[in-house]
Amino acid sequence: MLHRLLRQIAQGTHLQTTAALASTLDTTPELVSQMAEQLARQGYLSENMQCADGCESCSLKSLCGAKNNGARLWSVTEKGRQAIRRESE
Amino acid sequence: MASPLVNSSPPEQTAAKTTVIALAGQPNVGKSTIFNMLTGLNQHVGNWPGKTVAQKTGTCTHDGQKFTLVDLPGTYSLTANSEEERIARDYIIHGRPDIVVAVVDAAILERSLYLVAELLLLPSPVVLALNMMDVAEQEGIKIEPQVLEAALGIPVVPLCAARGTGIQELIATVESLSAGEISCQPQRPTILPGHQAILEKIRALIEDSVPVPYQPAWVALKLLEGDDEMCTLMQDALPEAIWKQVHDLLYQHEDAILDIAGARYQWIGRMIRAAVVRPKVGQLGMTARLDSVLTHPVWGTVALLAVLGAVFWLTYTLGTPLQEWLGDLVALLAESTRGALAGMPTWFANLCADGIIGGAGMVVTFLPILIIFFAVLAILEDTGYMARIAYLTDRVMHTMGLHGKSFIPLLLGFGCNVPSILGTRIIETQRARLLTVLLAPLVPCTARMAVIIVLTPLFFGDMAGLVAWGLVAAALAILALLGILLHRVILKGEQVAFIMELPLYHLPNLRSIGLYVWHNTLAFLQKAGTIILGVSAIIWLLSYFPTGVVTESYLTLFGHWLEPVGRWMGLPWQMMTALLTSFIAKENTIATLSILYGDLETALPAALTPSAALAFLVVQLLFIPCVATVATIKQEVGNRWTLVSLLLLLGLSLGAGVLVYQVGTLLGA
Repeated sequence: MLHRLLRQIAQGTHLQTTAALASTLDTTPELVSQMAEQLARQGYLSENMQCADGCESCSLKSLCGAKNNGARLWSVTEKGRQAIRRESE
Repeated sequence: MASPLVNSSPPEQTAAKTTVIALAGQPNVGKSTIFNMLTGLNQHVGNWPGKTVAQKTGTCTHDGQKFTLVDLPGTYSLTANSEEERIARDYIIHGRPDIVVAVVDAAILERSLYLVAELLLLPSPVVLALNMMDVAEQEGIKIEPQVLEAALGIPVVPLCAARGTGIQELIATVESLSAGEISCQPQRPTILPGHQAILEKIRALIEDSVPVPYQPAWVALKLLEGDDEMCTLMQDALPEAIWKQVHDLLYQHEDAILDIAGARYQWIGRMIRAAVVRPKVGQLGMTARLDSVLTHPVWGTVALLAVLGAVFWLTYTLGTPLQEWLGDLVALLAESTRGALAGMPTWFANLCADGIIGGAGMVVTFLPILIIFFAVLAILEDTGYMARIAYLTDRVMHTMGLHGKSFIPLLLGFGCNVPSILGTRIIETQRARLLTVLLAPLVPCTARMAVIIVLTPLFFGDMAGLVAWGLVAAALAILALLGILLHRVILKGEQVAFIMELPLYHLPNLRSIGLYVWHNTLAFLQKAGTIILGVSAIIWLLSYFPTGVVTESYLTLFGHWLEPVGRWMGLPWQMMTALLTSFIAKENTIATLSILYGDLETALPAALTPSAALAFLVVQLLFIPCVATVATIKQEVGNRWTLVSLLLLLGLSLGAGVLVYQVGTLLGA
């Protein structure tokens, strides 16, 4: 499941939503987010924390997952790309 | 079903009269409420041995049977990632409670089940306490406890601990299980076939050396998961040669965690599919329905353009009358000040009236327009739509070839170019980073937008909304075109691999909107009271001295140097000077124009043809960024690339201005 998710994310040619990935993987968006967190903990994904201080006056604060319950962004790390390569070998 | 990883022999405490129950669960699932309901005043709070984490124990009696309850620290898994996780798992392994009650939040069952998947691999039998059933019900989530019980193979007790319901049933179930009246045959997650053989190999290698009370199968699994504590334990316990074999196997299979944890998520997915019915209507349904239109590549883009148009229309329709009223007030204040300072030197009275009140004060009159603009942005933000804009923007940019990690910093630029430039640090390759730094100042930041929002209605009246909308669209189109050029030619299409969790749509919260507007307004006023005020005073002084006549002033002398460039765009020297002062802070453009022209509403439209006005707005939007952004660029990429960036932006902005003016003039505007 995690391999599939990682591959699916890495294959994406544009920004994908957890809802769309859940539909592809036949699971729930909540579980996709949870798996993304797990992949991030293991170093296969990195969560992009865009904001530091001063979020209150930023018109994009909902994009900053660390500060509130808004959107969260993850991207595949080098370790993640290596794992995909190893799996397909 | 997987082979059991636990020793099923009854624990030592069973022989004692008291049954020991460990309460396990994530933080905030109501574990402590259950503990308090069961133990009442019969509890003791201390610390876990050698730790600073609080340990709560208590006792209770049910049907004459005594129970000792141990409230384990809240944990998300049992992987020894934190002190809490180590305490919880060490207690279950070494303390061997008779029963583990896994408390889960029924409203977010997926989140809680990972811990349950790990608990099922440990020796103690598990009872699932399905707490917060009322919350789940309120959210339209229907859970069938009997189905979940059959799927998990362990007793499941639904309860609402906060209301006190289900607590007696829970303790009765624990009692029946400990008495052997009901059975517990957990359906554990299996490891995927890919790593089954290697797991067996590791187990065989370590079997004879695993210290008591650990189970070899569980230790082998944890080693394969990369658990540091188990690695240290087995490195100490195994002969060096055997450890080397184990270590080599672990190194070769370092991605095994993906299979092991992946199998647990598959298991969670099966449980959820079996026992949970998701809401068909309501918030989730509404979000999905709205997203089917608002994140659609075509309809979403149409909706985005319509929303941006509505933002400008609303801002101008509501804000312009208020701004005009405030403008009259500022003019009145300036004249009163001049009158009140009649006894002072003329230059000083004029500085206060025209330079300070006329310059910085005029900037403040645009506050109503900005407040409305900020409020509309805050509503878009608070409803969750701003995140869709980000998602959609990526899609649209992708179709034009501009994508990759450049996306996030560019997106941040809409707020302020400074964090945008700093945000390019997430880009790994130096070349991609440089290109993004070059593109970032082209994103219209809030300050640039403020200037556009203020000046457009002065030139274009009722058409202001449409013109402002077109300007932003044009700036983004230029950014995208330059992006296509740079990425196709130099980066050759670097791949993007991002996922985004979009928040649910919800009604905007008045407090959040108020705070957002307040913070932005305050920041604007602070700027008006410091940088803009200072620059206004300097500009006025330069426009007054040495003779007191503007046309003979230092500023005019300097402005005339810029006249040849301005002439290509139909811009008099005053406009070029205003443009230059925007380098300190974008809003200075308004203050400078106010000092040089006086009454902006009548003087500005008369000073410029529509083509020249449009050219000025285009140049203003694409011009070199403010000094703070330039300083950040210098800090991030050095002098040479800062110079390249400035020359690129200068060439691009002036080139676009000349083009707009010349084409507009040809068309007779």
